[in-house]
Amino acid sequence: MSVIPQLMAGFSTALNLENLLSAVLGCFLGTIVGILPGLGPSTTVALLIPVAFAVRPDTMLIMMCGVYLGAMYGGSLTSILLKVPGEASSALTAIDGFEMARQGRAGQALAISAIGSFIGGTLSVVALTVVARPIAQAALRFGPSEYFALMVFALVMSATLIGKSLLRGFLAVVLGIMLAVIGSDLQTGVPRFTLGISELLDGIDVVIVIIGVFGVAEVLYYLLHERRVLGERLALRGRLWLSRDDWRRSAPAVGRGSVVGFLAGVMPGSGSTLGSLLAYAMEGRFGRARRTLGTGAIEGVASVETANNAATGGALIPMFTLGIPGSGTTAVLLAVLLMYGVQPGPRLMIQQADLFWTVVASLYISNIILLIMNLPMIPLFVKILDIPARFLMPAIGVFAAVGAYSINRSVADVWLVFFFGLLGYTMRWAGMPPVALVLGMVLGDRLEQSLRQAFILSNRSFEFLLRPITLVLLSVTVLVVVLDIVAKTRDRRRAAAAPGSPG
Amino acid sequence: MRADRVFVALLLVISIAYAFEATRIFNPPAIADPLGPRAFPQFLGIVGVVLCIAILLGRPAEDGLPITPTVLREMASILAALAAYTLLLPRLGFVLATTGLLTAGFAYAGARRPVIPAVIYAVLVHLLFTRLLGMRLPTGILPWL
Repeated sequence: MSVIPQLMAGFSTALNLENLLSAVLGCFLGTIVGILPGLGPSTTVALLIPVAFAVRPDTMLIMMCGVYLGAMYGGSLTSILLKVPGEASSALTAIDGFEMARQGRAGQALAISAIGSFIGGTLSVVALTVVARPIAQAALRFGPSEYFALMVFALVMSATLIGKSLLRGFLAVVLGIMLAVIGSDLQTGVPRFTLGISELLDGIDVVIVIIGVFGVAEVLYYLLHERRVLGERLALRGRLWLSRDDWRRSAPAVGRGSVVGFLAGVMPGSGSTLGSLLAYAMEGRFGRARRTLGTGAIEGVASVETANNAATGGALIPMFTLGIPGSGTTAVLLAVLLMYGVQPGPRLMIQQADLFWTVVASLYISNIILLIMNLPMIPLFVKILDIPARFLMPAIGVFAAVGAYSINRSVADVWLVFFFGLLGYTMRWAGMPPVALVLGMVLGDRLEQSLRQAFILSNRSFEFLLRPITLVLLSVTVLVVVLDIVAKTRDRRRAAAAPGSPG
Repeated sequence: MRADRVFVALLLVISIAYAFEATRIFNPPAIADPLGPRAFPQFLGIVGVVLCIAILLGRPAEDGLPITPTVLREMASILAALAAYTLLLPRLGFVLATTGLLTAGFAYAGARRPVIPAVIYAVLVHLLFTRLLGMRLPTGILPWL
């Protein structure tokens, strides 16, 4: 059966008034959820479940997908303007995005993140339309050992990319993984490092760590080291819209981000944070912004925001075709499908063709809705930067505290968020990149679980390291480290040779 | 003594404690899961110790922040303010505690009239979270807010 007529039928259902309104509502809710730290898309989608009994399956799924996509758009907003990322997947946006805002280019950062999100989101739906089935089957070849290698690769990337010292990058990643281990062990339920505190049994919430080491740490940094800036405002320079040069620099990053993000999303259980990290790593290795990444490079924002949206389309493939959720949000979506009596799996695209194609069509529509909703709002959003920094910085601190409190309505989380703020700030004493800690924490769980599963599957030996895909990934990882050592040594020599530069 | 060294030395102590605490994790009989919950954190602790020692023996950080006694003194007072805020949050309620913290914060950052913006911001955030988003913040001694 050909795809086009089915997709057209899907569009005609998705465009009826009820479904269109639920898409708009979902996008709007999702954007708000993305802006607020502490309230994630998976929680919001779960909160919508009771509504599901009142409406038809297609309407419900459309609204939930709108929330999912909207959260990805909204997450970039506070990352760029306040350096308080709402979700893990937009943590990397905060690096170059906030730097751009400091340089007076907040408008451009917001514009490219909306456009990149649109392009990444739409391309991944196109891919979902065309190659859903074969891709899902290929993704199944990724077993625990391949996952383990992929996690090692991703973590080594995050250690080497940011900051000047390899060892300090690695230490930051290891600290992050150490934090991820805290709580009940996922396989045996044994408590680890809980020190007898029952609140720690569930582990530490990643979002609290992110808000702390980014938002609170940034406030501390400003109050203690940038007193001169406090009297000023983060002024906007020139126009808000992208220049020809911005377009030229962003285009390749958006392209790479779309592909990397989509592929990362397809692999069950990896999702958009991994996609955004790998896309950022691509820019750091192969992009034209190799040297400027982290200092307000538009390529950094473009690649991350494109990739985390491209991953949403990718993550729907294993959910629909194999019944395997690729992220927390798709897991809730899967539960909703089952609730309606829809059996996901290879036959879903045939038996429930109407529903499937309606949802796919609604994804195209939601991406357009979000672009239309977000672009005209940019001049409004950047008004926040008209507030002088002496008012803005303490206000960000309070915003971070409320965000942390609202996750579990617990004052203990406020203590934690301030503690991680202190940690993120003192890491900068030693030149350790806080973002490497965050990525270590996000990916640490899966690193350990895949290692243990792979160990079991290869008869309690480390032979799994020799499987072809695993071996290739690990070899590339080693190569990256060697190349990085060579490059950093050369940079240091050059800096030492240049007269008048501090070591 | 550079702040860089002090911080990494602190991390070294934490890593040692982490590795030690890891040996106390209960390892259930390894029928299904031969590596168990203990091996990985032990490995992490050891890697952490090795990295800290390597950093302490190597060059100082190139891009570390300059830490002076003034910075440390100011940091201590900011941390004290944050601790006081967190302690008073459930007792005084969100609006009062936040007004206090923001007044101090704005004044510290150089604002000449800090009180009114602090009140406005605290009330606005409170209304946004409680009325618009239906979340509950500590009310404390002002039950109507």
